[in-house]
Amino acid sequence: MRLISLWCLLIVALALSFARPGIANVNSTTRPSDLALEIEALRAMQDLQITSTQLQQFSDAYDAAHGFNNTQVADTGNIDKAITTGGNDYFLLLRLRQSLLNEDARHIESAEKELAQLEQRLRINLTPRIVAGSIAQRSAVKLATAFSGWQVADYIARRSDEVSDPTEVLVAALTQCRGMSSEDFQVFSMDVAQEISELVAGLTSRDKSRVQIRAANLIHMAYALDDDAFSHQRPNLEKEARDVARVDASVALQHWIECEIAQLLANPKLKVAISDRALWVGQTAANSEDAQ
Amino acid sequence: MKMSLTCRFIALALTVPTGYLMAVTVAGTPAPGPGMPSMPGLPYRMPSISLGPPIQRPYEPAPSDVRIVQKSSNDYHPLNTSAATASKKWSRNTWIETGGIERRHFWLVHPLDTAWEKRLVAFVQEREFWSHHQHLINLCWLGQGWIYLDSTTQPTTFPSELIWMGPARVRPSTVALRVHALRVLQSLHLTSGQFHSLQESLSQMTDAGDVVDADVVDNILTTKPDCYATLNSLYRDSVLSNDDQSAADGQRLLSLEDKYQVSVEPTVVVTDAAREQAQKVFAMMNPPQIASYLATRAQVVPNVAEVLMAGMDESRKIADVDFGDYCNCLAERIAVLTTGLDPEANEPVIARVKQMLAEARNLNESAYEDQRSDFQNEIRGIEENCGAIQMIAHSIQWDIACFLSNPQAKGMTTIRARQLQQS
Repeated sequence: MRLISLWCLLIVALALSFARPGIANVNSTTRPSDLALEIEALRAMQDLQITSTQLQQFSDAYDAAHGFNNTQVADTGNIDKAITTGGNDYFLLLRLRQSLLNEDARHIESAEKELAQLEQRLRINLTPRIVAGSIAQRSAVKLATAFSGWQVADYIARRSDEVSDPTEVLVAALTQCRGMSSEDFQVFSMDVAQEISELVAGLTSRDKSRVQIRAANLIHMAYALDDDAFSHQRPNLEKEARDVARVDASVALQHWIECEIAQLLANPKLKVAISDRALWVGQTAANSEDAQ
Repeated sequence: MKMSLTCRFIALALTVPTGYLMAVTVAGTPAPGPGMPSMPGLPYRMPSISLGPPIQRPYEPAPSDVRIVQKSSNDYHPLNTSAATASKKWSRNTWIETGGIERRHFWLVHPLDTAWEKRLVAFVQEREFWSHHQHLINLCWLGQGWIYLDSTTQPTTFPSELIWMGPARVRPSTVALRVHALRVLQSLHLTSGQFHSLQESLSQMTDAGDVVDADVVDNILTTKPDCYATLNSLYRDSVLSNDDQSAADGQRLLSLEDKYQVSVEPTVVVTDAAREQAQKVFAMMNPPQIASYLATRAQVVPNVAEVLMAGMDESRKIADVDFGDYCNCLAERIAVLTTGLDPEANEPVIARVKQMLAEARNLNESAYEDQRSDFQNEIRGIEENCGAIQMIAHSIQWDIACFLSNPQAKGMTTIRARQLQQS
């Protein structure tokens, strides 16, 4: 009986490997959150249309940035809880990863669509949130200068929905924060203040903490006021918010792209993504040579 | 046919280049021919109206834009001078009660389209409470082939409110210019305040830029009817803000351009005033607007190294007579991308690019191949002087400057303004 079970397992394993050719080099014990991180790295690399020289620069900077290990990744536990390793949802992640490695636009699009549906079904964001450490941030500012205008334009175009206007964000936050529980408010105000400071002052500027404090204070003021006082003081608060978040659009975009690069650099799976990409490109080249 | 015997009605269809039939039937005259949508008639009833002061219309067509082909046979009013004059007689800004329906007159005097010579456009009245009327007006305006008339839901339109007129002939390249203007406007996603500022910028510009290759574009569009038909569809869908359809039309036009290896976007000489105003317009944009502009017009930021390298290859092949213009054009493009819209800042880059093109042209094949890497390094040097975001800003400013120099920009902005006002 034990022998039969073993044979069955072997047959299932073989069937799976034949059914999904091209996914063979993924370790089946890879956690879903790690897979999600690698996917995000591959996505960003693809959106940036990164060249091999730039890839090498990223690889070097990654090593330097992670020597200090001050990067945080949130949401990984939720992803691992929601997605079972070896299940259909897990294979969807594998399929997307493979399509990104292949740079197969059609399959990427269909897998991304399925992933969006999965996110809706599970009510979870399958892109882990990465908070880049200071070393990654400093390296990102330097690395951002290595990209050409067309690369950055293309990246912004592909992710245009993610670009925000700091003024709009801060003005909206003044109303959004009201009525929140104190725990939610703490997280919310910190996130908004950080986003505003990064867009307005950039990752490495001395002004960053000043802007962050001003933005946080403003949100705290709006949160603390009762309804009457808030409606009375709202115009002044909004005026102050516009002043805090005032920045030239080009400068804000420059800071935004630096943040994006910092997140890519801080991605713990960047190195895996780079080596997978190199491996895949190498394999494809070898296969085409064999075919010739 | 029964209706034509019992009812007094007007039916109108517009003949479009694809062969719809235009026909007008008044008071029992023969029904329209094949291809024309049926227009049910209702008994005509003259409303009691009082004339108010004329509406200040946002756009006054030049007399050359409009000519009356035939005026309504139901001649209650002397609409016999010109369309522009006639329209004023009928416009009013007071609300008029007719059979319990409030309405306000609106004269449609934009003979927009294109290959409509000898076709009819009607003056119609707009009932602002029903958005479908506005849609029908747009349809009529764009030559879709029919118009709401004295029929189904409202009983009070009367035939003398119609003037039939033919638009002056519009060159195909003009349609292309209008399409370009509309697409830029759409990509800008301006708020109403910003839109107002854009109109102010346009109003400060006295002259539009010259269209250097209008004849070439005319020739392409005349000899390639599928291109022209697609461009017309794109124009129509852009005016009507049918976003999905206009995106599909745009894709279709792109693939036709690829198929025939042509470009139907005319080249407009950017004026100095446009350069100045473009920077002001760009300064109004916020980061999400810039991002969405790039999402719809990402091609505005080219790969400078690739463009210049391809330009050097090309400069070795083109005829002597074309080389000067080619040099000027490419050098200006590279200079604007890397140094912005300031002509003084452009000069050193223009000179350097021209020199490189001349050098590349004069080299023999093996020497050119040998020096290729030197040229590439030099291009990298030109590119390195400008950051990525700066280059994006320059590219968008240039695109806006092209738009502001476009002779059709004012007209298309007026259309959008009116649509915004009505929505």
